Amino acid sequence: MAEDLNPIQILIEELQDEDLQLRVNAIRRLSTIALALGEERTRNELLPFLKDNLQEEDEIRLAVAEELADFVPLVGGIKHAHTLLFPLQAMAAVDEVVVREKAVETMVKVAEQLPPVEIEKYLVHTINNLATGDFFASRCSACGLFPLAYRNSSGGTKAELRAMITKLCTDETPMVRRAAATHLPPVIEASDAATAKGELLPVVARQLNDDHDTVRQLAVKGAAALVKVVSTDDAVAQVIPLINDASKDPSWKVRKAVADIIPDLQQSLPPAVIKTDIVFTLLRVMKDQEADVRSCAAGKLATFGEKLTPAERETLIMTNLLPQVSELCSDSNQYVRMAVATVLPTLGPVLGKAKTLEQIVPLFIKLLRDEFSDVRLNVISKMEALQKTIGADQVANVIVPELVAMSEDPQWRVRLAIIEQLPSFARILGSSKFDSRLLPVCMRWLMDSVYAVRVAVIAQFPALIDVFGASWTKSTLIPQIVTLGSENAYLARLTTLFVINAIAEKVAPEVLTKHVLPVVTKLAKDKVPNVRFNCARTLGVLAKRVKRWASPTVKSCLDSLKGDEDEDVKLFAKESLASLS
Amino acid sequence: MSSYSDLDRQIDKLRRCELITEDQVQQLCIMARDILMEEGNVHSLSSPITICGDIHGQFYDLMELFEIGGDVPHRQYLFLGDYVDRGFYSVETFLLLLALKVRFPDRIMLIRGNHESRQITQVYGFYDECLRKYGSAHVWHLCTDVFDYLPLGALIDNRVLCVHGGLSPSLHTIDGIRVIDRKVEVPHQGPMCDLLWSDPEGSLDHWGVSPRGAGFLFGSKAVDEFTSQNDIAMICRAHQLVMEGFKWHFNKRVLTIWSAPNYCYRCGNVASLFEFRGLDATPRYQFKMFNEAPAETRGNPARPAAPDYFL
Repeated sequence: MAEDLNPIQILIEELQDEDLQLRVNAIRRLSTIALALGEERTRNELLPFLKDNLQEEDEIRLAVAEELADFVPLVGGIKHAHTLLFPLQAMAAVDEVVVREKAVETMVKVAEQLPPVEIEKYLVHTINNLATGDFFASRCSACGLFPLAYRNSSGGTKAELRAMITKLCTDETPMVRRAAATHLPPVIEASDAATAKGELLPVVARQLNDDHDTVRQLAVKGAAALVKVVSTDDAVAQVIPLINDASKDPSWKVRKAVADIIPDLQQSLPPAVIKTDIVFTLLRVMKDQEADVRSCAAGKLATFGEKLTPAERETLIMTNLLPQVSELCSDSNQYVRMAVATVLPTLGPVLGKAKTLEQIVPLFIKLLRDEFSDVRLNVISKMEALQKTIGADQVANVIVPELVAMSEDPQWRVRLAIIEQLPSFARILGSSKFDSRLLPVCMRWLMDSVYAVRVAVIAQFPALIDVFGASWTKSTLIPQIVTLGSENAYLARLTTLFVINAIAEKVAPEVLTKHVLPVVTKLAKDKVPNVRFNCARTLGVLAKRVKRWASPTVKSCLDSLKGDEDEDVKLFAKESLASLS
Repeated sequence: MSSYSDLDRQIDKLRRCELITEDQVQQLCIMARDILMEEGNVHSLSSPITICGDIHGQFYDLMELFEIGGDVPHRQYLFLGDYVDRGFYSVETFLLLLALKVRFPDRIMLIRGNHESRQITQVYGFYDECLRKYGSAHVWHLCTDVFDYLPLGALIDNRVLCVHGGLSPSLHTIDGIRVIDRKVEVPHQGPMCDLLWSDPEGSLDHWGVSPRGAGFLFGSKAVDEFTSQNDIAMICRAHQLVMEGFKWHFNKRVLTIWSAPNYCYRCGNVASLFEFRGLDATPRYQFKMFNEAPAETRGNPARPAAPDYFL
């Protein structure tokens, strides 16, 4: 009986169910049906059925478009993969944009697997059908297929495809022009210099004068692609003027697009052009009236002029850009200042020690004092580059006093950001400067009113021990911790135990035994149960690290905690005892 | 120990604001009930302890609270009720607090607020949230059954009384609170209702009618009488939004503490914790203020779908 069941019949029945979810689920099992049908019947029956009988629901179409992505083996492999394009083509022409985009995505996925000859044969045909469709939706979908088809086509077909996309670029519907502008850059990049200049440059120029700012915005990327392909002379003579015009566009989105492509321009152009042309483009967007454009432009400073020699970069930054950078540091918009805060410290290595001290450090300090906490946060988290440039003495004299002042920043996340920089400060400053300037601040942070700050500074102690070594730990850190443990405040007692827990692995056994263990055993008699159960945990850690002769002390202390009146103290003592054996 | 490792996994999950299964909720509620049943109406605690006010399902702000105040079990916590309703994550908030309670019964105390009630949660969101997140009202039934077992108050160092709302004209002693049969839905009137609903009112001497329609307004003389008769130093309560996070009343004998920053995601208030360190000649304490968790620490901005009855 089973052989008589037609799988397509089952699908048809399921697709007639009233419940939409059930119908979608039926589509999700499409591959099973195809498997049951076999490759040939899938091609000859299932695909035509899907093409002709798709119901109106977009959910069903979307599901089909998704499922077909994995259908290449089910229709008989690469040889027959092109048969999938026809049902997908039908879906690429529907009204609903989600369905269309999914259909185009699947078409690209399927076509990518085809050999170039077949791409040229079948995909170009599909593009032609879609691009000449009456309804704008199909023409939009056609655009998405151009990059793949163009890359894989021979000369004659390439010309045909260029003619088609050029036509779509002047389509009467803005949506189509937008789709064409989106997919034009890869087509430009796959063209030779002469074609790009002769045929495609005029297209981009026209797009840059489109009525719709979204089209012009996308066309800026086309211009960047042209710069990549055409000769330097042509770029300077014909494309860069277009980009400079775009940087004065009435729409800020277009101007921001110009800021966005600056790194691309740097990559494509020789140093001479960057020095004479691109730097002014950058300057113009840095001075833009719109904050979004300025902050985007500021972000591009970090990698600016990567291809220039250090000396060239230095003069460029010093003479042209720095005055504007300094303007941005006092920008009225906080997001601009946030953006410039992340790049400012990276300018240090470019300019060298003397100029950094003279020019960058004052701006840096200005941003450290910014009223907006995210600006302070950004500049702190990028300071390592700057430290390396100016060296230990200057860090200690100029930056550290600022940080000490900021160690009581009312925003606890700013304090946290400083704490995360501690190991890098330790490496730069060396132990004597660190001990005199920053260690007292660390000890203050251990008593910070915010738990997260205390935990963060404790978490940095192992790294500090790694930097400064065993003798620093013994003679500087441990005495401070012992003092902390003898303080009266509950917080100090608890924090002491947290610190010991964190650093025990890094401290020499004899130091732990002689100096640390007595602190813990004393705290084991604390009146607050929270302190006592933390002792129980810490003793478990210490037990494995202390000298053998002290083991009985640890064990008897844990034994007495095991008989504590508080359940949690008992529990943690038992856990620690269990880990001993 | 093995039972704890299951529970620890559930706690980790809840800390990430993920749901645990319905079966796990059921087990958790049974364990919680067994623990809460043993606690008196007025649970005795000792300092140092951190006291928190209303949370109202603002899960990520509760995480911020733990960042500021310290984590369970290392710090001792007392929550003054109103864990659910209004915020987007009442389910995760209450289940996390409950799981911590079960894991560390002596380190975290939960008392009952006026929103820990079947009636109120059906109106202010917890019921709908359970329905949306679990597909049925079963979890809501389980949680509301636990609500009935939550203590009505706590007494710290025998001198600081903590309740959600305030005093009741029909209660003159703490022992009076102790003899209430609390294991019921919050009544519409009477002493248990008043403890969860009343508010202090500076312009009154004794008692006034509450605009809330439940509980009373209590004045300075009412506080005088209650504190002297019971030899307590102060009353700590929550229940009312205060923009500054906390507010003293009646010459620092009553304190309102509020722990839901930017309440309902729109009020713009700060929140606070009350760290009570002990009572020598005078109370020793510190307030810790905090703001709402920054956007990047919150998970996906799960705006709840409109309840079905809007359709």
